[in-house]
Amino acid sequence: MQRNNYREESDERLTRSRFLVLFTIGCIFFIVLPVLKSQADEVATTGWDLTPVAADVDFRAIAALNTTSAVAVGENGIIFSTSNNGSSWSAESSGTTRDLLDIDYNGIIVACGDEGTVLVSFERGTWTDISLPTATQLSSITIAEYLSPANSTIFVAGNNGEIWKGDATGNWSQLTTSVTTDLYDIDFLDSTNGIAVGVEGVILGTENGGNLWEPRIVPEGYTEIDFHAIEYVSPIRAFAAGSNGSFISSSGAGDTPVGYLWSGWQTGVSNTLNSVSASSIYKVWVAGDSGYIALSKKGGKDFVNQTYPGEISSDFHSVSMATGFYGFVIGDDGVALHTDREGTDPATIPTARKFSGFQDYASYAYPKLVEGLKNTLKIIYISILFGFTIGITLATFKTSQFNVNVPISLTDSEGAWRTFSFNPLKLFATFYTDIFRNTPLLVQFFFIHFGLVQIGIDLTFDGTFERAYGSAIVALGLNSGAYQTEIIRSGIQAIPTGQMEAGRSLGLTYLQTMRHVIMPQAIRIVIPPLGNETINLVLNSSLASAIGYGELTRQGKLLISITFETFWTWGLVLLFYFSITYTLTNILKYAERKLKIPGLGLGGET
Amino acid sequence: MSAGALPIIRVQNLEKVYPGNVHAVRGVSFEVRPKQVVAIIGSSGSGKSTVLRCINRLIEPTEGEIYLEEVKINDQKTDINKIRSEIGMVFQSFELFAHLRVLENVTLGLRKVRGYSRAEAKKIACGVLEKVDMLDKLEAFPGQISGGQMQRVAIARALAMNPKVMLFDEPTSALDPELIGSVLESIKALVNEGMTMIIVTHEIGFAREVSDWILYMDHGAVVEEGPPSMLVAPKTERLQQFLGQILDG
Repeated sequence: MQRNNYREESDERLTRSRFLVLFTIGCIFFIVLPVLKSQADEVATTGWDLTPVAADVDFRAIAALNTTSAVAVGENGIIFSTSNNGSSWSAESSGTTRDLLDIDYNGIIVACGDEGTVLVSFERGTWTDISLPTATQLSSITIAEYLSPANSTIFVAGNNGEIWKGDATGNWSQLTTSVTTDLYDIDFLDSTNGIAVGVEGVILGTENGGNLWEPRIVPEGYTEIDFHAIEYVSPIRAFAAGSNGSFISSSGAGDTPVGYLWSGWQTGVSNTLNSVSASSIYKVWVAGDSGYIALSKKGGKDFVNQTYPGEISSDFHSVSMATGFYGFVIGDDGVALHTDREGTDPATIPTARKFSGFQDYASYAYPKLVEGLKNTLKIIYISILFGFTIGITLATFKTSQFNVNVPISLTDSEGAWRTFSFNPLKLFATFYTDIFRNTPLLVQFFFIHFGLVQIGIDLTFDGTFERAYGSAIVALGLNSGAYQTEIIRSGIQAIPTGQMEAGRSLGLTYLQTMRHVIMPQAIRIVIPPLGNETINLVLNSSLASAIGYGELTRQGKLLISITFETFWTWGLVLLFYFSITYTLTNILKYAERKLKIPGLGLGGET
Repeated sequence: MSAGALPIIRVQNLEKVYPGNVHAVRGVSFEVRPKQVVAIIGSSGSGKSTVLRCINRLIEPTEGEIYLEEVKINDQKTDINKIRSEIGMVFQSFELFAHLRVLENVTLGLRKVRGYSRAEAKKIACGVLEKVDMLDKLEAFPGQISGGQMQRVAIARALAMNPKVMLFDEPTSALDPELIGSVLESIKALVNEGMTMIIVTHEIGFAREVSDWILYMDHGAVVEEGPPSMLVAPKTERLQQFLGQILDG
């Protein structure tokens, strides 16, 4: 009686101290940090430097000559050039007052515009008129090939579906196209392969230097889009952009060259996009109306807005990148921008951030770590279930009596077949657990993530998940499954054989007896070791950071690469992990108490 | 004993050799007719329990034939689960399902083997639990009741399946002396209802009281068999010795 009283008291004390720890964690997570969070307001910034040239000038196109120099053309025949990163611009004489709409640079500089106007500049500062014999409005010009001033291939495209081919001496011939609607842009990869785009989803392609132009199929939903820009980047990639924020890309694959198959991407805006410039098949900028510039580093995926915050609402007409970091953008109202840092805000480039104290730091780190916490929870709950399913199944295999006799020879002394008896289920389960328990989990992660994909096993499932997510779940689940198998097997073997006999004597099948008699008892016995294994799984999930999955540990690493605050970061990461495992521990204790059966297992007080 | 009726259980030349060449049962033959109670007695290791377990194939016989009415039990084509559901078995160590309550212990077979609904199974279970006087412990776990009560629940569990024959494997050996009485009472009640039974037991007095036919086994073979009166005047020396030891003990 007295012992019982003592027990109750100590139980109560235990509950109280546990409550205190939980309360402290609760305070940190739900009261302090969210309050701090409200202090942080992200200010959007840009990596583009602005130089207003002249307010009455409307630029239409720009060509970067190198990282520091560029030439821009615009309405009323204006031409401006810079050779000092756009810090200052000087006007050049074009000899015309007609609108100049496009410019291209490839050894020589060419420009085109209204009423068939074409200008060429062999030497910087001087322009020669090589206009077309007709007065078509020319929207786009491109130098497909330049060998010498006398030997080059130039294409222009314009209204009514007209495309002309010529050279720098002014020899023009009109090419046949199948459309009569306006064309807005034309680009050539070399002297033979080119693409032209225009209003209402028109995409034309040629593979023989422009002698034959064939319409290409535009993806569904893009047939009404006016395409304003085409960029033929490489033999395997082309980009096009147009009205309503539309951006599409085409990849060459196998025998199909670029231009036939197009896929759409989300820019997230509805501005008309006027220009595309790519420095590689992945890194591509778009510029458009209302001061819109954006960069995708994944060939059209995940566009990041680089718009000049709050200052420029002029329409941007052209972007031209000299390299992956240096480039120019121009637009209406004499706006000219230059970047030497890919247009990215330096603040988002990983450089050490300074904090005034823990509060300041926590308000910055909290959302990033919560993101990591969510990602960790996302993999562990599936892995636990996955591992448990494997554990139950393979533990049943391991304790099964499914023997197969294979005759191996006739050398028995009595002339009978000597047989080799084995249990394939048990053999498989043993092989599985031996492999996964005797190799490092980190290497299993590497093998599953980097190894399997090479032989064509892609764990992105149906493309819904990122690959690292699939790999992390599979690696953790398979590994934990091996340990859970052993734990559950030990539980099954702890059940007296008489229980199986009693079940079978009632007429239950082997599996029914396992399901209704053996497993319920075995699982109850092994709840404590299973709990340990689950907690191990949570802790092991930090290894998913090694394959690039953005869970808690990886978020911590990334945070440190920006902040260099190792003490606070790892301290908080530890706290976050503790909050998961401690919650789990209490849930398991509760489950153990709830599922406890008097007389089953040790410590069986009724 | 109606001599003309078909035997419920017929065992012919049963042999069991365990791995390692342990010859546990040597050529045992006997019959159990409807409503007959057969007791198997003998010292430990004489093969009594092996014979009993061969009947519902918890142990696979090495040779010989066993029939439940006209069905050969030790035939690979026989649906052994169906056969087992018609043969009730009560174990020395009760083997109640520790995670299930008394009622659930009895209804498990009814629901999963016979396919009764929860309500139907409960009705049948309550009927048999009443017979063994365990109706007041329906919601108790096996760990919360005494050994005698557990064995009575085990009897009810086997009885609920409405078996054609019941096998008792030393049903009172694991019980304290003061608890044996209630279990024997329950078995006697079944005998009076006309249940066909095979009882492996050490309780010589009980065997003599309830059984119609007694087999005395030693070293895997039936040494002497006959009506209960054979215990009063044993013919063989070995049975005399065995009875002598028990009376001395």
